Amino acid sequence: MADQEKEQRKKGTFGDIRLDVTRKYVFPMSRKRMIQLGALGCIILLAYFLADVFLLDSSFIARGPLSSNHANFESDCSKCHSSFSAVNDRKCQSCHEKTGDNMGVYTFAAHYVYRSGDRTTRLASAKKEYAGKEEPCATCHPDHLGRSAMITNVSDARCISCHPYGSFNRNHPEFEFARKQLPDESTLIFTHIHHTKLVLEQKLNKSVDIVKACLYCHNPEPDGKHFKPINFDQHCARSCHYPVAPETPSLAIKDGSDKPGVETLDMIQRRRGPGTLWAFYTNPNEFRNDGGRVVKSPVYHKDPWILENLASLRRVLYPDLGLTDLLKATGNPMIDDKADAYAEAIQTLKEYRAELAVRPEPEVQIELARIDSLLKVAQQRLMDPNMKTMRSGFLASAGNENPGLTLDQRNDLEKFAGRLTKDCQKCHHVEQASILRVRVDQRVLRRAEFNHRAHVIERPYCLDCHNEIPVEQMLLGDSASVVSLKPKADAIDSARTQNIPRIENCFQCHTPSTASNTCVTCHYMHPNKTNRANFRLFVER
Amino acid sequence: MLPIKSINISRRSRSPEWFQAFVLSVVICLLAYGINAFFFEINAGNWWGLTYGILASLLMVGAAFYGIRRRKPGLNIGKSQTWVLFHIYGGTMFMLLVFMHSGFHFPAGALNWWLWGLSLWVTISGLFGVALQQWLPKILTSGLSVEAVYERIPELIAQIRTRAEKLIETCTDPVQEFYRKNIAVALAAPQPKLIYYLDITGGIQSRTRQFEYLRRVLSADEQEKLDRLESMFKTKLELDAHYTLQKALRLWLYTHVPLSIVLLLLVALHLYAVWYY
Amino acid sequence: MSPDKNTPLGQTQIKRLEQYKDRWTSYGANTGIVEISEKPTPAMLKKFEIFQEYDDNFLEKISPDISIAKWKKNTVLFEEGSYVDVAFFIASGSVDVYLKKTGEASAANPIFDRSRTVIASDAQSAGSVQAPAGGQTFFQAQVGKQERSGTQIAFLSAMDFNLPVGGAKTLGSGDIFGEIGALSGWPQSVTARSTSQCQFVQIRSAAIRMMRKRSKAWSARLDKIYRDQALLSQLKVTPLFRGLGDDFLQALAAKMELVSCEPDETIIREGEPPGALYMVRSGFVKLSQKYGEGNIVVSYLSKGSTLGEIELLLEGSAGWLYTASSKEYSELIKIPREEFVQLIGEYPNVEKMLWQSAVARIKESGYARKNIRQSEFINTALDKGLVEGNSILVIDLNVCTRCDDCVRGCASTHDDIPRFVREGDRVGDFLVTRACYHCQDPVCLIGCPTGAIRRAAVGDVVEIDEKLCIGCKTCANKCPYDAIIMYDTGEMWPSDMIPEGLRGKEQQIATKCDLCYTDPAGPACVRSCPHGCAYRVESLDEFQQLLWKA
Repeated sequence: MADQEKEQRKKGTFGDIRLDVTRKYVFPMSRKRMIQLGALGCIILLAYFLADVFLLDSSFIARGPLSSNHANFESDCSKCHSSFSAVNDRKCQSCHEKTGDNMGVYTFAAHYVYRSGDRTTRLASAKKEYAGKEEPCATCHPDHLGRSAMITNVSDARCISCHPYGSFNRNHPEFEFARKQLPDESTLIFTHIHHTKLVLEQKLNKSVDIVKACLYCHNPEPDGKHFKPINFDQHCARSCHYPVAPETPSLAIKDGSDKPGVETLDMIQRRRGPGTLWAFYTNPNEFRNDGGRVVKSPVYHKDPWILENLASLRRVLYPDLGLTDLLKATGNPMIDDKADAYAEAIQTLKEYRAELAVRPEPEVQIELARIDSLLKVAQQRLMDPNMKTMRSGFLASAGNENPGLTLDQRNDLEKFAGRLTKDCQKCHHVEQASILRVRVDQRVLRRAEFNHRAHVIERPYCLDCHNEIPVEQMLLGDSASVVSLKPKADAIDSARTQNIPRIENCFQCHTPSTASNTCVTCHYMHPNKTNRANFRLFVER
Repeated sequence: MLPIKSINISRRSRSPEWFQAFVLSVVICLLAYGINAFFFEINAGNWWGLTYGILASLLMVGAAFYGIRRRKPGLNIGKSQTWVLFHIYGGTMFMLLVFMHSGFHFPAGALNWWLWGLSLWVTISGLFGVALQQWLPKILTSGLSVEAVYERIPELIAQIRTRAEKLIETCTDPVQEFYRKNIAVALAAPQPKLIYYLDITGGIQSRTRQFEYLRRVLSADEQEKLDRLESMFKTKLELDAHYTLQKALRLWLYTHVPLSIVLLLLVALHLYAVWYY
Repeated sequence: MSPDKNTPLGQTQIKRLEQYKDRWTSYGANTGIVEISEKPTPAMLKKFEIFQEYDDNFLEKISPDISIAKWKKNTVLFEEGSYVDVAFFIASGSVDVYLKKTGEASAANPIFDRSRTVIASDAQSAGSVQAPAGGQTFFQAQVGKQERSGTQIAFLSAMDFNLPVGGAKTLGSGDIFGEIGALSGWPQSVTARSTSQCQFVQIRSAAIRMMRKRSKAWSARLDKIYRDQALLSQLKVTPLFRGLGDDFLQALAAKMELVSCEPDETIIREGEPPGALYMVRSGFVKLSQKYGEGNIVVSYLSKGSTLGEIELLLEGSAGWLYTASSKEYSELIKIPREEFVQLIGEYPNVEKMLWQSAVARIKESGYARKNIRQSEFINTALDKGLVEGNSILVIDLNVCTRCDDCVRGCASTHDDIPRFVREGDRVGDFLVTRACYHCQDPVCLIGCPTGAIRRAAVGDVVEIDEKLCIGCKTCANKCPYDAIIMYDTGEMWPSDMIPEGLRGKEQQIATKCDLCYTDPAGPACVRSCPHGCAYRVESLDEFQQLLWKA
C-alpha cells in the first residue's frame, strides 16, 4: 500500500484523492481556454479593424455608407473628419462656401435669418448674437445614413430638438397672418366679389366658371409654383380701367403765392427739371384751362403730370426726402421690397443723368455730380450685403416735415394733394402726399415655401382653399343666402382680407399617413443660391 | 438545540434586496427614459444617449470585474457573491441601458451592429447561465445521492470498474458473461446523455431490470455479489448524471466568456471611434 | 463522496507501526534524549514498579506504545499548551513543573462545552461567578482572546497541577505526569523541565488506557493523581460547582468516582435504577431512547453536561430515561446519590441549575422523539463528528453550481495549494466538506512531534506551521474527518534536516484549513462562493437552522 501510494503521488498531487492540484482541479485548462478563445476573437477583430481602417474603406467603424453626394470621400475619412473632434464646419465650408460667395449662407446663424419671419433679424447681427451657440452642420445633416439618403433631408427630430413642436399635425401653430389677424399690406383698394362678377359677366360671356375668372387676373408663373404679380397694364387696363378717369377735378394753378397749386404743362416745360422730359411729348390738348384753374382729361395710370405735381407738393411738405424723392410711389409698408425700391431709385437717377448729360449749363453739371454721388451710394447699398439699411430709408415721416409751414398751410397742402390724386385714390392709398407703393409679391407665408403646382392636381378648384371671402356663395348661391351673406361679404371683401387658407386646410392632406408632413416639406433653412432675388432678400434682411 | 435556541443564520443565497434594487433601477431608468423621450429626442449621439451609453459601458466594465474577482481571489476585492449579483443585475441593466442608448432603435453601421448583437448575445447567454445555475443544482441535489467533483468523475468511474472487475473474477460464468455483455461497456467511461436533463435518474429503473432476471438463477452468495455489482452500476449512472449536468454548468461559460471579452474590445473600439470621429 | 474511501480508523491502524519509529526519534531529535530504547521487552518493563503487576503477554502487546529514554539535564520535556499523548513515569532523576506563561494559566479552563451547556450561560448571566484565584475570570480572559463572534469556545488546557501563578513543583522518581493531557486530549497546563539527568518510561495514551483497564490499582493510582492534582481546580471553574465552599467541594471530590469509557461503551441503560449523577469531563456521550423496535438517538452530552439530574430530582423515578453510551473515548465523573442529595440540599442554586438542565434535556429529547429527522441529525452529527466542530464548512447543494471557486479561493490565499477538496458527506441537502472542523478537542494536536500543529492565537483555530512540519502524518492520521491532507511539495528535504532520517527524502507537508484567521474578512472559501451557498457553521444549532429553517 505504501509503495503504491508513493508511486502515485507525484509532484503537486494532493492528499489521498491524489488530485493534480494545479492542472486538473483547481486551475483547469478550461479556464485558460476561455480566455484564450476570447483573446483569439479579439486578435481577429483587431486585425480586421486595422485592415479595414488602413487597407479597406473603414466601413466597419462607420455608421453606414455616405450619401451619394459625398460618396467620393468614402475612403478618405480625413476629408470630413479630423482626429479626436466632431466633424468640423470648416471642412464643410471648404467645399460649400466656395460656391456660396462666402456669405455665410451655410452658417448656422443663417437659419435664424432665412425665412425666420422675423423681419428685423439680419445675418450679420444673427451671426453675432448666436456666436458660440452654433450647432455644427453635422447636427442637422448627419451623413453615413446610406447612399440614397438625402443629406438635406433634415429629420423632424433634429428640428424638434430645439423647436418645441411635437410634429406638424400636433403642435404646429396657425399661420402668423391668421393667428395675429394681420391685414394684407398690398395697399390697394379692391373688391374680389365685384370684380369676379364683372369678369364672369363681361369678359367670359356670362360663364359661371369661377376658376377661369380667377385666372383672368392671377396668371401662374411658368414653373407653376407661384402667380405672377398683378400688373395694371396687363390686368386692370385690359379694356376696363383705360383711361383711369375721364378728367381730374379742377385744380388751382400755382400763382407764386402761398396757396397750393399745380404747375401747368407750360410751366413744367419751361422749368426743365430732372425727369420732366415727358412734358415735351405730352399732348397739350389734354389740359383745359378754366380761369386760373386747370383740368386734365383724360387721366392715365401713373400720369406723369399728376405725379410731378404731387412730388412738388411733397417737396414742400417734406424737404429732405432723400431717395424717396426718386420713387413714383413711396414705401411705408415696403420693407421687404427694399431692393426693388433701390433699383427703381437707381433707375430714376440714371434717367436723370442721361437727361442732364446733354446740357452744358454749369449748374446742371453740378447737379450731375450730385446725382453721380447719389447713384454711387445707392448702388453700394444695394450690392453690399453687410451694409446696414435704415428702416426708414424710403419713408416720408413726421420727423422730416418742413418746419417753415404753419398748420393751416400744411392742411391746405395735404388737402390739395388729395384733390390732385382723387382719381388715383379709387385704387391707391395716398399718404403724406405720396402714393403708397403696391406690394406686388403676393406671397404671404414668410417661413415656409408653398408650391401651387404641387397642389392643383389634388385641389384644382382655387376656391377649395382660398375661401375666406365668400366669392362663390355670393355669385352662384341662391338669392336667399346671397342676401343673408351680403353684410359679411361687404365687410370682408377688400384687398386687406388675406384670402389664404388656414393651416387646418393643410392638415386635411398632410398627415403622417398620407402627404408628407415633415418640417423640411415646407421649411428650408438655407437660401437657394440659384434664385438671385431670393438670395439677395436673405442677405439684405 | 433547535427547540431551545434560535440562532441567527440565514441562507445567503437569496438576495431579495438586490432584486428589489434591480427592479427599482429598471423602473427609474424607464421612467427617466420616458420623461426624457417626451421632452427630447434620444439617440446615441446626443447628451442623453451619451449618458446612457457611458453608464452602460461603466456597468459592463463593472460586470467584467467579476471575471477578475473569480480569477484572482487573492486580490481580496470583496465577496464573490456581491460581485456575481452585480454581474447579473448590472449586466441586465447594461443591456437595458444599451437599448436606451440607441433609443430602442436598431443600430447603424457594422461596428454598432456587432456591438448590439454581441451585447444581446452575451446578456442572453448570461441569463441562460443563470437559469442553468438555478435549475441544474436543484435536480442534481434532489435526484442523486452521490456528490462528485467533476474533474474526478473519470477517475471515480475507473475505480468502480476496477472494483467491479475484481468482484467479477470471483463470480461464476453467468455473472461474468452478464458483466462482459451488459455492464462492462457502461463502466468503461463517463457517458453523458441528454436524458439526464429530463430525468435525472436516467431511467435507472428500466436499466437495472436486467439484473432481476439473472438474479433468479443465482445462488445466495452470487446474488449478494450481483447486488454489489448493481449498486456499483447505479453509482456509475449517478456519476454519469453528474458528469452530464456539471458539464453543462461548465460549458455554457464558453458561450458567454470568450464573446464577452470580444465585446469589451468592441466597446473600446466603439469608444475610440466615437471619441476620434 | 468517494465510493471507495478507506475508513480513517483503518488507515490509522495500518500506519501505526510505520509512524511509531518517527515519533520517538522526533521527540528526541533536538530536545535532549540521550538514549532511547524502543519497544522494550517485558523483562525490561518488569524492572519498573508500574508494570510489575501485568503479565508478559500483555506487556508484549502494549510495548510498541512504550519507550524508555534517558534525558539530559535541564531539558524542556514539553511546554504549556502543547498536546502530548504521552505520560511520563520518572524512573530516576527529578523534574520541575512550572507555569511559564503567567496570567493565562490563572484563567483555568473549565471542562464544559459552552456552546451546549445551558448552565454555563445562565451562571454567567446571573453574575454569580466568583473570580477564581488569579483575579481574572475565565470569561474576562476569554473575551480578550475571542476574535470571532458566535459561540465562544473554551480553550482547553488541563489543570494537571494545582499550581499558583508563577509557582513550581518538583517531581521525583516514582511520579507520573502528563497523563491527564494524554488521556483527555487536553493541552498541558504546565511546562516540564528535567533538573537532573532523568530516565523516563514514556507511555502513550493507548497503552495507558489498556493498562488502566487491566489493573484496578493502576486505575486507582491515576485517579488519585488526577483527584489530587487537578480535579478540585477543575470543579471550581465548572459552572455547576462554581460558588461551592472549598471544604464542601473537597469532600465531594473525594467521593467522586472517575469513569473512563471505551468507544461505544454503554454507561447506563434505560429502565435500570438510577443511582448517580454523571458529569462528562471529555468526549461525547450519546443518549438514546426506546422507539419502536429499537433505539433512537435523542440527545448527546458533551463536556460539562450532566446526566441523571432528571431521574434524581424527580423523586421515585422508575429508572434511567436514557441509554447512555460513549462515543469514542470519554471521561466522566460519577457523584453518588447520597452526595447529590447533600449537594442540592446545601446549595439550592445548584438544584436550580440542574432543573434548568433537566428541562432543557426533556425538551430536546422530546422534540427529537417527535421529529425523527432531529434524531437522525444528532446521530449523524455524532457519527461524523459535527458535534466537535467549531467551524464546519457546509455547502448548500441546491444552490451550489459546483464551480469550485471555494477551493480556488482557498488555494489562492494559500500559495495555490487548496486546503480542502469539495468532497465529503451529505447531510440533508448540504455537503459537509472535509475542511477542518476546528474541533473543540482537536485530536490532531496530540502527538505532533514538533508542535507544528497548534491552536492559533485566535479563538478556536487550529493551524499548521509549515516551517515546523516534518511530514510525519501523525495529525493526518489522527484526524477522524480526513481534514488534514499531506501535500507533496515536489521537493526533497534539505540535507541539514533534523531529524536526520528525513534528509534527502521526498518532502511532504501536512496542510489544513486555518480559517484564514489572519484575514479580518473571513475565510476565503465563503468569500469566494459566487452564489452564497458556502457557510461556516459554528454549532449544530446553526447547521440545523440552515438545514430546516433558514
